[in-house]
Parts: sequence; structure tokens; C-alpha cells
Amino acid sequence: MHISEGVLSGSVLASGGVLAIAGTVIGLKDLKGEDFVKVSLLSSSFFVASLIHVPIGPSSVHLVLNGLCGIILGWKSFPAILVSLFLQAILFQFGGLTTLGVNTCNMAIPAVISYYLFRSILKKNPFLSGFLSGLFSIIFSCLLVSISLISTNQYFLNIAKTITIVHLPVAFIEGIITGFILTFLKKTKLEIIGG
Amino acid sequence: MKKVIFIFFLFTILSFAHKINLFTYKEGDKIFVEGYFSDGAPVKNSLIEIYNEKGEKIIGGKTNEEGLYSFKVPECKKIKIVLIGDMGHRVEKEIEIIEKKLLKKEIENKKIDNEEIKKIVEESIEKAITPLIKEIQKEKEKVHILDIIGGIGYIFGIFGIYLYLSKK
Repeated sequence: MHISEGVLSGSVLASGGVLAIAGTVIGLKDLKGEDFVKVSLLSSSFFVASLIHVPIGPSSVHLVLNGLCGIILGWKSFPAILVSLFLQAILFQFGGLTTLGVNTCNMAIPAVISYYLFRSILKKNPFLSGFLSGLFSIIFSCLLVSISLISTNQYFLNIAKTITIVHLPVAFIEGIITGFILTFLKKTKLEIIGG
Repeated sequence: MKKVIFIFFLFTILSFAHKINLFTYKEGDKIFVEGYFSDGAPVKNSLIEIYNEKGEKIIGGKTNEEGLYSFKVPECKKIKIVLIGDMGHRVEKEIEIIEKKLLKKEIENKKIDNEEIKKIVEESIEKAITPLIKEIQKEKEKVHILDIIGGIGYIFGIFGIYLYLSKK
């Protein structure tokens, strides 16, 4: 879901950049001393999740984990995702520096929305909350990627359909894994998910 | 039991790679272009565009099921090859074309001078080392575990510095 350099037009890049800066500023205002470990930890998970590819059949395999970031960090997902995307771009040329803003928005906006939608059920049912945020975040990210690509390709519905179909299995599995992680964290490290 | 399920899922997720790479080589009078994802999977049925040094599009087409595309060496000094995958993937590569025409008639007449021997040797070496270059290019594009560990370190470092500066 990382959009490469040279694909998008200047106006899309600029608006992505502005939105990403706004989100990051809000996220950083929210960031206090004790959150440091949490944010770094989830930023690292996001960084690693999209890097480790396991080749299966004709395609390759990896997670995104923006739902997990969102449900735990809320607005702080913006700085967390921005930093890991920045490192992915300079270390591995995944995405790119000019598309950093757009890519950050595409992954962090669904994360923040899933925080508001599913955070309330986290205490009662961590698995369900994780499953829904993982599932929703991926599908919504697909939608945002399609919207970013409109300026280069008029067939919005076509791209949206392809991207979503490819990611549907990922979305489900991501939901299940996010659910397991939250259940596990609730039992062992309650302070990370914030009680 | 939960752990087993967790690992099982981790290894069965289907998705696509995040970066596409372009490998080019010359064989005879044709240039071959191969597009592949960072894990080695081919970039199938994707648009390929070739531009000359003035930026004009001279050739266009699509890669086949193996991610391959080939075209005749065009008559210009420099070309830019652009491979456009779906879902926002794109990669471009510039290559220089050096004229290497064999004077076949003279070879048949066994009037081969040093210059032609050089050309023949160069061509066969080029052919022989193509798979080697391919391996090296693929190796270079791979994600290495050390980089991943380094990246995690950077993340903690960046947030650590932010924390330090914001507390001051």
C-alpha cells in the first residue's frame, strides 16, 4: 500500500503532506513522557510488519498493523507511522520521501478513526475490538489509496475494487492477529493498552 | 495453543510486496526488461514505457506472465524505461546504449582484426555474466535482517531525542 515516487500529482502530494503534518502535530501534543515506550514499540511493530515478507505461492505476505497502532495510540499513531514510513523509505525505498505525507495519511487516518470507533469495547472484549479495528483499518486504507490514485487514473471503482480484493484476506487475518495481541496484552501488560 | 495458531497465521497471510524492481539485460539486438517484486515474484501484465533522451515515448507495451518484456535496441544513445505496476507502484531506470555492431561479412572471410575479436569476446562475456548480475541486483534489493534491527533502533532513537528535547 506504499505509493511510489513519481506516481502522484503535486497537488495530491501537497495535500497529503499538509494533512500528515497536522495529524503529527496533534499526535505529538498528546505524547507525554510515559508514552514514549508505547509509541516507539508500536512504531517498530509497524515498521517490521510491512518489511518481513514471507513468499507464498505467486505472491508475498506481510502485515500492516495500523489497526493495532490506532487502537492503542489514537492520534499518536500519526508520529508513530510517519517515523516508520520515513525509515522504510530511506532504508528500503518502500514508498518514497515525496509520498511520505500521502502514505502516512492513508495508514494513520484509518488508525485514528478505529480508535474512536472501537476503543470503547476494548475493556469488555479486547478480541472483538482488535478484530474490528484490524479489519476496518486495512479496508479503509485501501479506500484512501484508491482516492489518492484518482488523479492518475480515472477508473476509481476499478482500482478500489482490485486493491480491496487483494487485501481482503490480509484484512481478516490482520483483524484476528490484532485481536490476539490485544487479548494477550490485556492479560499480561495492561498498562500498554491503557487499562 | 494460541501461540501455534498465531505463528500459523503469520505464515499464511496473502498479500503483495511493496516495491517493484527492474532488471535489464541485452541479448543480441534485443533489450530484455524484467520486473519483479522485492520477494522475487514477477510483475505481470504491467505497463512498460520506453522514452528516448528527449523524453519522447518511443515504445510501449505490457509485461507477460513472467514479468518479461523485450524490444529491439532503439537508435538512440540513452533510454529511460518506466514500469508502472497497479496500486501505485512505479520504477524507472536509465540505460545507455553503446553501439556494438558485428561486421559479419568480414568474420566469414576470416579477416578478423583485434577490434572485432574484442567485440565478440565482449558479447559472449556479457551473455555469460547476465545471470550473475541478476543475482547481485536481486541480492542488493533484498531486505536484510540487520537493516530491520537497525531501523528499530532508529525509531527508539528518534522518539528518545524528541522526548529529551520536549522535556527541556
